[in-house]
Amino acid sequence: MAKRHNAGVSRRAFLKGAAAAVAAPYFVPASALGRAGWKPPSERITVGFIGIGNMGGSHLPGFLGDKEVQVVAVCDVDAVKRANARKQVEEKYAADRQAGTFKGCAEYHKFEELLARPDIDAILSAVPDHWHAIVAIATCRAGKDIYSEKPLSLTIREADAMVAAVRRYGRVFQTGSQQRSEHNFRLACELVRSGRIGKLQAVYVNVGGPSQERYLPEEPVREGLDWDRWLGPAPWQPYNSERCSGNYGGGWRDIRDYSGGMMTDWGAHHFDIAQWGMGMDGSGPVEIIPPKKAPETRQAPDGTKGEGVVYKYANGVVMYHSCKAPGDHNVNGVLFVGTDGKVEVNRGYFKTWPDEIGTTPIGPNDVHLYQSPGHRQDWLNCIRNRQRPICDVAIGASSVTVCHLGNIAYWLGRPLKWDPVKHEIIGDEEASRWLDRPKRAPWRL
Amino acid sequence: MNTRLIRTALALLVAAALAAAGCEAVPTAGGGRLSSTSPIEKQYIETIDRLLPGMGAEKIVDRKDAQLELERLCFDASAPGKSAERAALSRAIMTKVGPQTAKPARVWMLRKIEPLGRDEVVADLARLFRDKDPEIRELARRALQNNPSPKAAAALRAELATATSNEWRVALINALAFRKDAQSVGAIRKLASSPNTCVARAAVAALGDIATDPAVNTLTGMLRTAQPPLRDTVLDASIRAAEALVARGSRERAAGIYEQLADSGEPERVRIAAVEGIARAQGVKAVPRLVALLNENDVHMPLIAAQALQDIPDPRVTAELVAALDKTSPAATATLLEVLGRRGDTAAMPAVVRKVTAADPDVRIAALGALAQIGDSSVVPLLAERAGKTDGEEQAAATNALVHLRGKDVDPAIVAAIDAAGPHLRSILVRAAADRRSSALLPTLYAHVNDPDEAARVAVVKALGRLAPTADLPRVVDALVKARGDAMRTAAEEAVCLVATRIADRDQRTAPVIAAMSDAPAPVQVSLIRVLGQLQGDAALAALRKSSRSEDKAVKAAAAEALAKWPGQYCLTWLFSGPYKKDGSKATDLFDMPFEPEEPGDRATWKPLDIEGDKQSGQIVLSKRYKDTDCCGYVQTNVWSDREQEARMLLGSDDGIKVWLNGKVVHAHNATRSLMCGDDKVTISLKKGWNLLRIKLTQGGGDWSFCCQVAAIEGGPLEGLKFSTEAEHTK
Repeated sequence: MAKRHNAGVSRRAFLKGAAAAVAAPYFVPASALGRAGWKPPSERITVGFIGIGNMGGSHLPGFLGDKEVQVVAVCDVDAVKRANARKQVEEKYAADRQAGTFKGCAEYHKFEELLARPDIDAILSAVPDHWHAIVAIATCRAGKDIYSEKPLSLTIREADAMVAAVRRYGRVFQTGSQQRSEHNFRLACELVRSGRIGKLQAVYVNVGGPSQERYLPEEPVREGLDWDRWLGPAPWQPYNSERCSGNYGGGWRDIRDYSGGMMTDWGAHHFDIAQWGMGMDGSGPVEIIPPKKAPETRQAPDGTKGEGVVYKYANGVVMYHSCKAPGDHNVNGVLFVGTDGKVEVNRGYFKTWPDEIGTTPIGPNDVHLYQSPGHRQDWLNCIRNRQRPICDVAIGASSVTVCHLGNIAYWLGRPLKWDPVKHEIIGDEEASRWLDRPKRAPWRL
Repeated sequence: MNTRLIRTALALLVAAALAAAGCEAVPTAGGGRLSSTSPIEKQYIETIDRLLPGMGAEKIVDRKDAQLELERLCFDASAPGKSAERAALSRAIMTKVGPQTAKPARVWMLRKIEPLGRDEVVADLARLFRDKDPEIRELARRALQNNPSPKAAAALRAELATATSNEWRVALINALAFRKDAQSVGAIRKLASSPNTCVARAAVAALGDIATDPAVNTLTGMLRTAQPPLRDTVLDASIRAAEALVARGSRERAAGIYEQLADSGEPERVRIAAVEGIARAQGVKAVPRLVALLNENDVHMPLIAAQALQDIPDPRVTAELVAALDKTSPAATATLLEVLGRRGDTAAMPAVVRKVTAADPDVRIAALGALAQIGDSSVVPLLAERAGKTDGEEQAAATNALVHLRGKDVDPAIVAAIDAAGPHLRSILVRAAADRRSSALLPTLYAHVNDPDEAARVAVVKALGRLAPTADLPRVVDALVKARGDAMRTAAEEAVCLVATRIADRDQRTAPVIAAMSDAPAPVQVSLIRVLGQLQGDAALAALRKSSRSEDKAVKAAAAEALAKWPGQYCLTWLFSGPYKKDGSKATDLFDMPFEPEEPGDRATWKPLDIEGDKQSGQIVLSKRYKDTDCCGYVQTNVWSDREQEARMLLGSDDGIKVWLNGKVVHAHNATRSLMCGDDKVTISLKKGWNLLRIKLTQGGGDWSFCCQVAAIEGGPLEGLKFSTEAEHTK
């Protein structure tokens, strides 16, 4: 569509319109990188990175090797990380140019300053979860597209606000739940939704438990880190290196002020696939029941050990947050159980019972789900054609809402009833107060 | 007392609390007033008193148990039907949050009040606005922000009226905005013109959140006058306010705001938001405006308008778009057709069909694309005709539509079209049928295995590989036997492999292939041998060994090639000795430098190598455990042979490798390289019984790994082979 519409108009102009004209101060020289299949700078999508920790750092090499993209800015509250990232960008582009040096990547301490640059088309946001909504909504207001790491948000109301902002400003938003771009997961969901396992009855999702309070001793703030800004909208706490570590198995992902724990972190992958397989994007469960041994489970939030939250859907399907399925089966990722068979899927793993379910091709009258060419590529394609990517913000919101509801049920230790249309907890006013959290001043959405 | 007992005690007390009325107010420890002296509240106070030392402990780690116990009480008291407990606990907490309490405990209790307290805590929280500690003031603000009581809003408004610092004003405005507090619009409106930019921005943003009519009036007024840097905030707030208007049914008023922004000289992002808003506010009424945007000479707007047209849920949009098809430029018509396709409304099909023969090629292609999404069996003849009469992108679009059409009548319609088609079109249709991956088309595909057109034959055979049930394996093998030409033969070999590998039992997989070997001419046998090499299994191995003795050179060579690729057995069981180093020596220097295992008497210490090797690749990564560089190490095992015989050893190493068999060097390669299994191939002579195999491996840097496979001399597994690290076998 874009090609036919914009014949004679450069890709750069297509992306930026009149705004491109004011981009000159930051523009990469026309001679740069224009070889070996690289798109000339005027046609590349200019990307700024906000958050260069675990995930931002993981994304960066892929973006630097992408011929459609030019990384022009990096932002982090840690001066060392952002300096290293800029160095990495400039060294890679210098090597690609077969030149000694390359200068063209700016460093920012504050994301607002990066977003103010008119020459940046899109943002890769890999900040901790408690910053996701603020950065994403500000990005939309700035008229830029965004790839935002999963889980979508820290709260359900933040997710709602992010959907509204993306739609309001017509932005392309890819949630980083990249399993939807992988063949195995799509095939599993197509089989389930095409009725190959009969009527779907149950789904088992094996991810870790909710986040918790952590009691970490105060340490001297490490040099170069703006600790107050790292905390941002979260309640003030004294610095501890573990508190702001992005490493798995601990760090901020395990702390309730910043994240929903593995329920949201890995839930944004596996509950997301469960929602896809059930055909529940845009909807969700109607009842969320925490385990009966609530205090013990909540005190030691480890969903992989024993009974977990049970989700009931209006169509009768029941989803279990559990490492075990009937028959003492160890759940490997996501297990769909139907009246006529089962499908189980995880990264690098796919199995059906019976085998024939998985070996019989998906036919033309079966359910064909969105086929992504790869999560990043899908996002870049959609930036050009302005369509919705595979993990559009509304999908990320549906999935993270499932995760958050599980957490609220775990924390409060009581069943919840949920209206998936109105997005409201029914009959529990105090539980409803967990749908959002007031932010530390001066932050707001 | 543990938490469970406390909860039980509190449950018993709650009845008394419900009966209590007219409680006297007494001063609280926090300087406020204790609003209840009910038994349940006293119980809570006693509990909190007990927890306070822990909650406020100097060492952070010491606070955990007490703080989590209070949290548990709060969670339990917040349950539906426990309003008396909730209120009592809230009041009890508020008696302890004054400055007399250690700060960590105050902070924690205020955080717990945030999702718990209601009316009963408002006055005490408001009093904390006078606390000396700014963190406590901020916690009180957040607790009031999230408190559903109207009194909480009143307290925040009162504080805003007397606030003196701009930072505090911003915080309070944010709190009132979060609450969407209509009664604060008057005060906030005034602050929207504050000389302090932060205050003004917060106020304007708050008006967008609250979005009552007075708030919207203020914003629309500011739209006319606001200048940078405040203007961006005014624009965003106005757009959000318009959304609120739509939500409460004031669609025309919202549309007015959007129209004002759409036609302005505002930045593109604002105009995009306005277009999106117009579509949401006006629904089907917005279609003419959005269609007009499709014709704009703009790089973004046509795409934005197309997405907006796609999103309007009203089914009447289809008729509007169809009516517009003949009134727009070819480019816009093409876009409209794409939108109609994505909307999926089959009511548009007749109009889309008419455009399949339009003058403009882009329109024709877009129409074919739309039919892929909304067409049914009735369009199969048309699509077939277009696929046959066109080429390039248009033919691809027609074929793609045939592949993706849905409906139970589509496959029979395609079969009918194939039967009626001439050679050229038949080939195209057969390929499309193959790509549909519909099992209903299997009989037709079998019927065209011998289609005169080679491309069609290849497509059919490829499709059989994907579609044929395992019971059909003999038919697919038959197609391979009858295949002529390299392309067809290659496709048929792949198809046989695909179908066969869907059978779990390896020998059942290969049975039809082996059966076909007996009468087949030599070129066919070569094909079948390649397939057996892929499928593996004992029966296949026996068949290959038999073929390797064939008198036909081509058959013999094919069998030898397949056997050469046939995996032997990886040795994954080893003893290890090392690592050994010598100061100043590089790994390549160490290669010929003898260490203990090479020295007379062999005083080396050997221990089991407890690194799990990869069963699929045979790789063993020593650097998982040993991180040294410029070193070497030795691995050793015993190899059993049923008889004296020659065998093949396939080796790989990162870096150098030297191999001794029964004490004699049989291979040496002082390499600096990465691991590739089978890099080195060695013929070895095994004696009957146990053979001592020892390997020296050098490590320069990076990964340190190796693999070792022993196979029959002609390829494949060596009968009776086994490995053991038991010491007695070395004697």
